[in-house]
Amino acid sequence: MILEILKSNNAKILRHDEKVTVALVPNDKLRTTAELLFKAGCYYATGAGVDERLLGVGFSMYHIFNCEAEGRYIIIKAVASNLKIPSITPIISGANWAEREVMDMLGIFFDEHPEPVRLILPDDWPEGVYPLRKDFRYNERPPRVEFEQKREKKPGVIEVPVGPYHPALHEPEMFELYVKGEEIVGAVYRGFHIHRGMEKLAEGRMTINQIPFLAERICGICGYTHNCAYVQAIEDAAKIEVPERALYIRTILLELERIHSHMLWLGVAFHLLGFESGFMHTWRIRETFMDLAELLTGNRKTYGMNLIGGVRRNIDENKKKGLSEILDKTKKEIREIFDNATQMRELINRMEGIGVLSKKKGREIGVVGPTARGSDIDTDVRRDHPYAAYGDLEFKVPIYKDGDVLSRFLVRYEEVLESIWLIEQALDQLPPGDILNEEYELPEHTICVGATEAPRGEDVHFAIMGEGNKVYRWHPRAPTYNNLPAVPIMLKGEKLADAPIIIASIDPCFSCTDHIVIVDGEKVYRCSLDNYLGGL
Amino acid sequence: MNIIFIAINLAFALIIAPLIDGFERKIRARLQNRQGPSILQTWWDLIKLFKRPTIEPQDSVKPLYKLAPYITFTSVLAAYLIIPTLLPASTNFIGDLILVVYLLGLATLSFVIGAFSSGNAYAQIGSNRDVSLFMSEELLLAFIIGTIAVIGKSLSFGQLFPLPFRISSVLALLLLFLVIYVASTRLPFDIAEAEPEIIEGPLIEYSGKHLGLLKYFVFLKRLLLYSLILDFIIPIQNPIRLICYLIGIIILSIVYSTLEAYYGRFRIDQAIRILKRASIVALIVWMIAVVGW
Amino acid sequence: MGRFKLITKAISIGRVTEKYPFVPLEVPEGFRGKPVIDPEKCIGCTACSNACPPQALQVYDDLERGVRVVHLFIGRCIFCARCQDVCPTEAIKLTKEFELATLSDEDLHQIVELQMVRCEECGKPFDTFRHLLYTAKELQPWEREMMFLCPECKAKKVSEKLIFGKGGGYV
Repeated sequence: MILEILKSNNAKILRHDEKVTVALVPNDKLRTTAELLFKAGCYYATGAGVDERLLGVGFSMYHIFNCEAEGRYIIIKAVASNLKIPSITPIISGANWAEREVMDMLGIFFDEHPEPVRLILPDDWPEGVYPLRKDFRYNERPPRVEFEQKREKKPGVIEVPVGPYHPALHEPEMFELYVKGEEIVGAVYRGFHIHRGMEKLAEGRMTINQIPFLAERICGICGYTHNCAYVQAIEDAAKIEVPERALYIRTILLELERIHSHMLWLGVAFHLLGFESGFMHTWRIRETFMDLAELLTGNRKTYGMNLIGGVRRNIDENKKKGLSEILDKTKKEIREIFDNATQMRELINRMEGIGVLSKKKGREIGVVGPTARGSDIDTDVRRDHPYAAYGDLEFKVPIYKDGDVLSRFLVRYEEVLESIWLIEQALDQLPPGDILNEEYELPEHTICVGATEAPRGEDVHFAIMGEGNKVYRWHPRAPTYNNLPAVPIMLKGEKLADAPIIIASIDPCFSCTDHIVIVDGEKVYRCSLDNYLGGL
Repeated sequence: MNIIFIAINLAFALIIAPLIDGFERKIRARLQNRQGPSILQTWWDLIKLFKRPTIEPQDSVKPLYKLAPYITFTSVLAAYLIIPTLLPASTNFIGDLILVVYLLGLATLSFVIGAFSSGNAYAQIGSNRDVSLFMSEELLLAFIIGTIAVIGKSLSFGQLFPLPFRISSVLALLLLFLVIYVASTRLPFDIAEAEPEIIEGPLIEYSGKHLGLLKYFVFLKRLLLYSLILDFIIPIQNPIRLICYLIGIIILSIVYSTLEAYYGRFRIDQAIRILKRASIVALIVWMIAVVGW
Repeated sequence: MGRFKLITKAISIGRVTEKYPFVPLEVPEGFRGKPVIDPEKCIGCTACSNACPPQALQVYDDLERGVRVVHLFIGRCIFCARCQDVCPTEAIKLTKEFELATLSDEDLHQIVELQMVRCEECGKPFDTFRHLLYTAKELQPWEREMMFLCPECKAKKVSEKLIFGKGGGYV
């Protein structure tokens, strides 16, 4: 069905196999194609712009759609004529940020984009300098420009800045809340305070087997899923046969990461509700999993286990029995803590009916992960596009219908129990054999996509292979990127006391997603750290 | 003689109040499987605060902002002259009970005014919440005072310590137990100073010795309220009064800090609803006292 | 009530705080700590600096003194153990040491210097002695006579033999 849509719009199919379809669409048919794909049930994952002047094509834009009905990713490519491409944001609001990012970083202009303002670059970056173009070296620093922006004061409302530094939030992000009494009447999000230029670094000086280590450090909590997504993208492009034992080991580590991330979130949720002892109990149990990870991989957090073609370390056979016992005991403890904690009425009252996101709005924005599963949207990459060993294992995907903070809390709690069940199955069925397959050829200029289910949602890595041992373009999209636009919708009309728990309920991981904001009396501007420190 | 005893009481309060807070922190830590800081930690924190410089924000109303901590601290110290702690000595006159309520009200009022005049959005929200909570708690307190006055047939502490043992006095003391919990700004009622939500609310712009005085005020207020409820129970002329008093303080600390460790924070409207229901119960208890039970 | 069961559970478990740093901390086998180069085993093949993602290991030739310098800077190391994977002689290994904070910068640098072979013809140093001997096992008999020539001189000699030579050797 997708093929018919593409063909009826004069698309040229560049690649079509069981997982990925790539099509070049002429600019005048771009919007109709996007609209038809959206109505056919594909939702918007991400968009990446590429500077393909060295390949003789000019600037191009790739829009990536996740089609669950057919279990594949669909990439439509549009080539810029005179640096302009029609925007698909009027139809698909999820493309808003992707297109603004490309406008900032590559200088392509999107016609009829409703909000063409800067997203990523700080306010004092000079105009006309585009970092992701191939003629901009990765360690070049242009001179800063003076830029100031006045804050408008609305009468009757107090502006409460939540961030960039706030005890409730663990990473720098800025939500400006407009408050009347205790009720929030408006919210504005400004982020990308820790943009580290990883895409430029990967294109600039890293080889294909060094990027997994860079990808792992995108996030401090869900790093291994980024690693796996990248490695899967390259393995998909080069058609590498990964040994079965390696796939099972990857699955075990992925689920271990999911457990530790969800336990962290559950502890933080208790802390934000004021229940400190719940935080302590949850994190005490989480320590067991961190020690387990240290035993299996050599480090509590950055596992460093993946290479293209397999994994680096094996799981000892005599450790398997000890692992099963530890998992059993911990499962009982987790059930005990949470069954008792959910009987405390005041905690449930703070979470029920707060921060509601309806299913329709969620679908339009394209939310992923537990945020979507709490609003009755049935999506899970492990089941829809099976990867690693998930095709052979059985597991349930928890869905809750109410769309409030309590639903997301319960979704994450059930996923912890499901993950423990998955690890037990994988340990049982661990097949013997090799763990690394290093015989492969890397084709040039292939477009590939790798997707995994991070603890926060769907994690998509888009890559174009380069010559020799390098990558031409790499664009990771973290799940929080898609979940953030939902937060201002959830905050409207709620009380200020609930703002931290609502912001935290999408499990924001800003390291994955994104300069500093200086709020100085009347002036608000984003500038670089050197500039600010120089002025002190 | 009396004056020396009152001075001893005051010194005892000043020295012991931070130690009790240290003890409560230790209990809370042990209930969370942690090691916890040493009992003297609160004293070291206060000493550190008094050594630091104070920074005053530009947008604040300077006289109010600077005067507020001193007024708060001295009003609660004045209340110690009326309520006996270690030794059964105090200055009393006719309207003691009302005077104590007014002194505590003055302390809270100057605290809120000082916070409000600091010019920070978070402090203003925190002061809003503090005032709402204070007014609901005062209503409940008014009914309890009415009950106690009816039972003891006087407003002076000379006749009220201890209360005669009746159903209405037991119920009134249980309600007083709740009021003390709310007034000592503990979880679940520490809504005014919620750290994850509004970053310490009213205290946000205070630093150095001002912050030290305000924190010391909270510890002294807690000890004062503990002494109040214990004085209602323990007879004043009892020979082992000292030991009963100390054991009573320790038991109250353990109970309060255990409850504090295992409760989630209320939102302001939920807290006010609970206090309203308690006020209705207090009204009924007052009726019972009037009838004579 | 749920609350009280949690309180009793906490009391029954007791203290879980570890006594570190007053007592040393045990780490499991396979823990990835600080890498250490064994100067006796290193042959200067540059495999580790090729594989190192943050370029903490850098190998460069000091042509005046005729030494190859292998320079490891722990400040950039990400403890991924790729160098340990690719080293052919197991010269670099990751130990279990993780307490690396220091006040002096010199503790973070490890330098190994290896003597290089000078070309017989032009005198330019082109490879370390140890690496040459390591690869010498793979050489064919007729290649051994050109072992001590740098790549440019070797190419010149081979083309001379091809153009001017009369059998014997390559042709």
